[in-house]
Amino acid sequence: MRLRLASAAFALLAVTSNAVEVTNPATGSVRTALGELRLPDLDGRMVTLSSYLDRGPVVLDFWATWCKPCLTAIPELNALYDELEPRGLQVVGINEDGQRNAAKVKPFVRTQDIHFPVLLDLNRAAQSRLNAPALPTTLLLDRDGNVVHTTFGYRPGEIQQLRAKIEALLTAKPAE
Amino acid sequence: MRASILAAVILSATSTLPSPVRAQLALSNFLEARIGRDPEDPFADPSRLSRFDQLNADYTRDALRLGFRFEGYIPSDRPDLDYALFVRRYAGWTTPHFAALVGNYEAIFGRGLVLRAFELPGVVREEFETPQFGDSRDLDGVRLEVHDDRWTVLALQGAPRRADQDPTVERSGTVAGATGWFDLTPVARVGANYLRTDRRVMEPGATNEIAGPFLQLGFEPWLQRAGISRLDLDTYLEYARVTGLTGIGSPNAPPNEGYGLYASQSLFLDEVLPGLRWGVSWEYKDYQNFELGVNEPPTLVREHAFVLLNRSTHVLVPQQEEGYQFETRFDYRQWADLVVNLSRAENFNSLRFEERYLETSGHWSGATLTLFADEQEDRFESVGDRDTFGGYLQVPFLGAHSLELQAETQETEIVAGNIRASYGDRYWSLTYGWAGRLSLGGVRQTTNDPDEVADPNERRAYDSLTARVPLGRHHEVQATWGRTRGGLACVAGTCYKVRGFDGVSARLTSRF
Repeated sequence: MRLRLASAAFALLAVTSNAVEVTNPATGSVRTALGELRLPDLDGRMVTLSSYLDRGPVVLDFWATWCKPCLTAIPELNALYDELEPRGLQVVGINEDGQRNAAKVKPFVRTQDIHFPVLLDLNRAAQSRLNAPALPTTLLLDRDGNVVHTTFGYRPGEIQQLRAKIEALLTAKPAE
Repeated sequence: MRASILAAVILSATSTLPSPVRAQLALSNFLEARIGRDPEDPFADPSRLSRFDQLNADYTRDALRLGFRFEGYIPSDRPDLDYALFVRRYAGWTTPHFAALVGNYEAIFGRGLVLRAFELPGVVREEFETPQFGDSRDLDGVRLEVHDDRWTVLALQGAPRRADQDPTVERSGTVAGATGWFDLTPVARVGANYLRTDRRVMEPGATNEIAGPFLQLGFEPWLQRAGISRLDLDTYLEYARVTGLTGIGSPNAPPNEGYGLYASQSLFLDEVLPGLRWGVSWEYKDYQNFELGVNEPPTLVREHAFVLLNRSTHVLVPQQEEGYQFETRFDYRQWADLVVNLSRAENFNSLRFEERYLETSGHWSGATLTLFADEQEDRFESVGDRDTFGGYLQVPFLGAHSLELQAETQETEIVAGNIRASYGDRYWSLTYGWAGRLSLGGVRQTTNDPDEVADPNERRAYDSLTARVPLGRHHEVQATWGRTRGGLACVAGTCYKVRGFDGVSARLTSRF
């Protein structure tokens, strides 16, 4: 009975989402959430996530040093970043090791020669706010902060699908 | 009272909105349905049906943010565990240098030595005699933050939810405090934490005060200015003293007082030899009478993705524990890695946890092979010796297809007084993946752990099959059939107990 209440609330929200000026009712935008999330980089400098949207589409990769599929995906994301960053792509690694492993992250990033910026989500606030329940979770955002592609977990070959979506965003004309 | 504050915030916010406004609504839902039972509970009905649902809604309109989480659980055999509640609701206002939030929120002071209120996204807990519930250890109250590029001040007040509490248990006690930091130079950051806790749950009337400084040094700017670009060095130090304690006592701390000290250092050196990169991290902890109920101090024990190691790790004893963790990592041209990790924790009863871990990986043409060896001694759990070996192989084929094989073996020797016993655990998994389409996996785990079998010559098997399929752009479904093993599980530095399950379960994750 009470779960029906939840279902009703879910349905009500889906309906009311059309009543307000929602930027993208189909996929949801996280621009505002990115504007509220300030995370430290590996040198402790605080970075607001929305600042990356100013430069182009953004890939947010939630990962941890102990997560095997995350480590398989990282070299491919690194290559993607090296190739497409000059055309505006931003790749941001959001590390979810937490405070238990925080000291290991910088040596890891440097030994693995990760070129894209990595931010520390010490309290999992970004993971919670951006709804990334599994590691790795990869979100592709357009310049408006709309989530246009999501991958939970990582399987070889998925980077090619991500690349196709990125190419579409990079070749699309920016909105006026 | 809280509702009126919320209403006031919403009204004042919406009445001062600049125009034009942009509104965004994000929704997500997690639904789990299970038919089956805990194999450790012989009296449970094998056709028991349960449903757990968690709905999140987050609405933003310029600087205003409103949201809630609605959670519910219905088991077919225990109407007393049935619940459906708004477990989170919040209203917030954020500008480039200021943020205020009323309701449920997460927060961390420093590296979490003093305060860490957080949640584990995607984790569903079920303790003995509790319903299923989402793991959220948030605060319910008010949080204010003011910041600029070189400084931040965060102040808060709220009621905590403890780790094992399900949402039907009323919150008890309060915490109030503040943290702030300032960048003295590009190299040095100094900060301080203060927290006052009312621990009504554990010790009626007891009030504790916790305070202390932290320091972060990152030498990269200096090193680069000196023309040394191959070397990088970082140091972090945090200390906190707690007063007003009653009832617990480490011999290493004054009466009714405690302290926590955490220090870490990391170093990186490029091109040690041609193509070889080297990184090191070293961490030290000293916790005496430092269980505050609202903190989660760094444990300094390696977190493992390998299943048998993940479930046999050390759980921190913050009442009294001292120790270190050292990890070094070599990488050769991204073809091969070597990781060595040493960790140790000890308390005044000479209980000791020690772990030595070695891992090596190779990467060729998209394939990855990882092999590891691990040795533990865990006197906290009467484990005299525990040796674990295993590996992981992932091979892609035909572009979008892959196979993953994982195998582990573990031998444990129990030493408790004159009693000695030994048992072994085995784990195998094979997963087929088709990028963007599906993954299919099978797991077999066996054990003769005396906690799980009566006869040491008998081996209990846990076999399961799992399929994961994305459904369109917004949904993913995961179905598991078979028997899964209970025990300890650790995610991102936080460990919790998982109950075993025998039956069929399905999870539907949706986001809009």
